[in-house]
Amino acid sequence: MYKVKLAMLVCCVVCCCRAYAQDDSLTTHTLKNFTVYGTHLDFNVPGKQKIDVQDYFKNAMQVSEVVRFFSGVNMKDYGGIGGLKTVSVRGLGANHTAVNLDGVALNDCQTGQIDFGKLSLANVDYISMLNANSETDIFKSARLFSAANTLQVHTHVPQFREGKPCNVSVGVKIASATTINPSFLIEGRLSRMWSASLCAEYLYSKGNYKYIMHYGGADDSTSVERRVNGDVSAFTAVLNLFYNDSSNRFHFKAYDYSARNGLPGATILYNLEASQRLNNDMFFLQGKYEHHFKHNISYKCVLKANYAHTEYIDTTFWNSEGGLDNHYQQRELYLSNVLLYAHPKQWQISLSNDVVYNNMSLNMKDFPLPHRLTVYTDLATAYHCKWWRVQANILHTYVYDVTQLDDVRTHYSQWSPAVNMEFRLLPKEKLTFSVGYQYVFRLPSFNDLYYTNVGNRSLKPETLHQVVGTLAWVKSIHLKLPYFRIAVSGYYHKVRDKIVAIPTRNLFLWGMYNYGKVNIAGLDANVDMQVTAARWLRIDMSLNYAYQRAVDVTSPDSKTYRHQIPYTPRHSGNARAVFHTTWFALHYTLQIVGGRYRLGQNIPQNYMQPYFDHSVGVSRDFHIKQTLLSVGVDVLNLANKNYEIVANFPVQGLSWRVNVTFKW
Amino acid sequence: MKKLVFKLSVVAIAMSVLVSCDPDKKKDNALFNNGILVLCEGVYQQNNSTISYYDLDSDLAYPDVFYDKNNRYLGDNANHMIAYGNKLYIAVDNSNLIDVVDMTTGKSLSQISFNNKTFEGVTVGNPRQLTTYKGKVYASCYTGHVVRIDTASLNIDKIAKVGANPEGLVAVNGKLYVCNSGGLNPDYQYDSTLSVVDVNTMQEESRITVCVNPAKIAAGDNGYVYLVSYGNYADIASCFQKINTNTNTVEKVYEGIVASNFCISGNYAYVYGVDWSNYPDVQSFVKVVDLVSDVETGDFIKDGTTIKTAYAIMVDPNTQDVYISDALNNATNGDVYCFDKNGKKRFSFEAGINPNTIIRVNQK
Repeated sequence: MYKVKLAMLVCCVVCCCRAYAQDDSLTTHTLKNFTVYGTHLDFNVPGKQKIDVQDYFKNAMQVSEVVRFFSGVNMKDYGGIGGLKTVSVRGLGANHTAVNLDGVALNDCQTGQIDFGKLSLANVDYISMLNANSETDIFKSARLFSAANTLQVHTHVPQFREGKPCNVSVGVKIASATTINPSFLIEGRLSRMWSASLCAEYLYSKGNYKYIMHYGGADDSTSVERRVNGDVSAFTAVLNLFYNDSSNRFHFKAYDYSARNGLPGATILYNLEASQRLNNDMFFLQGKYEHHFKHNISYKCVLKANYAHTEYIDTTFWNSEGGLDNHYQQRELYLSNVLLYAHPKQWQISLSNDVVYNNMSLNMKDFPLPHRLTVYTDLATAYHCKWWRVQANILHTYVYDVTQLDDVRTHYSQWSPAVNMEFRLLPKEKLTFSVGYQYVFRLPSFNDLYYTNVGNRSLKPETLHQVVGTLAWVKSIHLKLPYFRIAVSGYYHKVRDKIVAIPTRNLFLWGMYNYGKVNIAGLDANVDMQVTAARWLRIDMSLNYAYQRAVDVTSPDSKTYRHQIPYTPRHSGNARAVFHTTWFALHYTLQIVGGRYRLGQNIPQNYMQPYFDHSVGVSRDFHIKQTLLSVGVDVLNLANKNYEIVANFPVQGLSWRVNVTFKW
Repeated sequence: MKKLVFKLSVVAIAMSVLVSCDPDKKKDNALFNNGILVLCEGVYQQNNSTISYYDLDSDLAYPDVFYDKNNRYLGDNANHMIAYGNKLYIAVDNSNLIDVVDMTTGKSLSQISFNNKTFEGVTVGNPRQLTTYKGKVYASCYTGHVVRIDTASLNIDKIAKVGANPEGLVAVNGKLYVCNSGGLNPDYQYDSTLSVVDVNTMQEESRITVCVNPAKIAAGDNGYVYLVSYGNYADIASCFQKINTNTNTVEKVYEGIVASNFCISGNYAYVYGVDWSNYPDVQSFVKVVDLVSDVETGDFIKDGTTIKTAYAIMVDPNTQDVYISDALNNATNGDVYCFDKNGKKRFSFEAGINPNTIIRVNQK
């Protein structure tokens, strides 16, 4: 197994280099008739990061646990398994990060943000993140060009060994705070071309973990409390259907998510009661079809239909009806067409068009029932030669909103260009420098525009100019250090017309305004390496550091002028390592987040303490005839600190989890 | 690290008033002899309600005397504060309690909590506003009640059922006048009544129909009760009204005054309102209303000082100085301005976030 992996790695490095320039003269190993089981590493893009879930996060349960290890990501985590988890990438708001599942965009038209706590990690192979459209692959939907950052979740594609057309995997994860997470996966080869997989999982947690409540003061009086109303009951089922032949590819997915959760709420001093409930249901069907014509022309089509229902219940809302019970429904229909011409040697051009229809309804008087049609059209081209390559695209976005209640029609149309260039700096080294510019904007969400008494229909999109420069070096240094990659990115973002919620008329009633201006200068540095320390020990590790100076430049008269924006640490970093030994694998992760402020004014009262989170895990695979039994144990948050990512939402302290998976 | 934060905050205190002195010595001086107490509600769910104190003798501002004296935070969303019988009563809405503080020592005497309790069989809580009458303290609770607190035992001795989401309340001639805001009614259909409650029986006796969304109420020396209704934030504007307590009817609606809150001093009412129409250039106006002639006499501020988001007002009964707080953008520390009776700024100081109540203390 060890040899296979090493060879696979070398193979990938060679592939990477080949993809980059045909005549690369890196250490060559001639490989013939070699079968690689596993996914290939595509680390030739300087602006791309990737985390292999099976390597590093075998025992994890939610996508959010992985995403926070990307460099430049700040996870806004409201604590516990059920809490809302959104990301801020490089100091930008959550709406600037697009998420796609197997190449098809996930969307929440109500809020414009994806809750990573809802996404199951079962059957996920790897997650990658792309900043500033720096990808070389231009054979993608127009919509995927529209965001400043993209997180890509890749589902496991079934692979079958000779004579075994069916794989079954049954697993259960048990964790503290009465958490249990059984999962089931079946993969079948239906014919030479067709295969399918069905993955189902259920997650239950009481979420009643202990934490320390602080009351402040010189002697800081404290009490030990248990989190209330943090229960989670979530069911996810995903059906995948794959077709593959020499010129056609098809992938169909049906996804169902259903959750009945408590909302644990902020830990309010002297009042820890919470009784709000949140029920979420999401169902979507997506199909992706690719056809490779003769004459180097490829075509891709995506179709998706999405329905989501959210119910928010508050039994202690002191209104005349004795509580609050809001139902939100949203729907999406999505069609994407992409045409690519790839000249065999040097350049590619693609034209893509996406049409998205959204609507939303809510059981509240005066909610205008908005419908939105968005048309994205993108022209992209990429050219590469021995010493440099360039990728440029221009995206046109057209938005047409109609409100059903009062028939107000609004149009918006905008061009947004992006260009990215990469240069090889040395003839024999894979040392590259890339520089990119992107103009993007985020559309106001339905809540921003139409939410009764809060929404503001005159909102403009929030705009963003970003400039990024990245220096990257990849090398197979030695047999003991077969893979080494270092990348340093510096970036500058200018956010204008930032959509912010501001109290209008009184503190009860907040409204949305295009008010904020934010300048962000930052630096991301990451090192990934593989060390073959001994025949029995291989170490994979990754170190990330991020510096973010994100300042509010809205108004010189304000007390927050040139202050760091909330929840954005100047310094943060993380490290993760896996020690693969012949007997077991040892995982270690470290998350360090520096001091930051919970509100816009950078004063001591608003300061939030830095935190560390160390976690370790051990896993071992037992091969029993044709079956595989994997057992893993994680010990999380070793320092046992109930640190707060979001103020007054303490996270779980020292906790454990056990994972047992049986595959045959 | 706590110590570091503490030290940093002390440094910030010193810097904020640009006076160098020994920090520890300064902290001990913060007794409420002659100064201004400002309740700052903070930001919802941030647990950062504070009580700022400005010492008129030394001209020093103390960001949080409650924290200094009690070694703990006040709570979340403290909404109102009154001084009565050498005690401070603080309605801490989201912490669901009323904190009672000894004004001589600054120490909390009791937290009258509504958590996990029922009174006379019903759930009562989320205290909003306070008033006093004949040895008792009355608090409106967002659950639709008024509670009566015995100031000797500091216990709730009786509750009254009123309308939806009561806010301001005042007692005149043995009757409580309680603003039923209906702030949480479905579809923003606010209430528009005052409940009249007998202070002895704590029974609601009648209702008075007023402008929509009544919120702030106070009694004049002339026996009338004055009231601000916020309106519905859409097509119905806020208004300032006069209520005859003999007939229990609205006797006058003052036309053309944008009203958020007011304070009565002698024959004058100082009514402020916030103009949001040129957002983000928000500006507040303070109008003086002559309560004898019932005529608005124009802007109070004469020296061109601009207040963005006025959030509380208080008139010093002795000097007639007018204190107005400015909550700015509602998420940063606010400022408190002191004007002389002619509307000229005397001084200002920084308070905490959302300064909603100003009290003059003089215990010399």
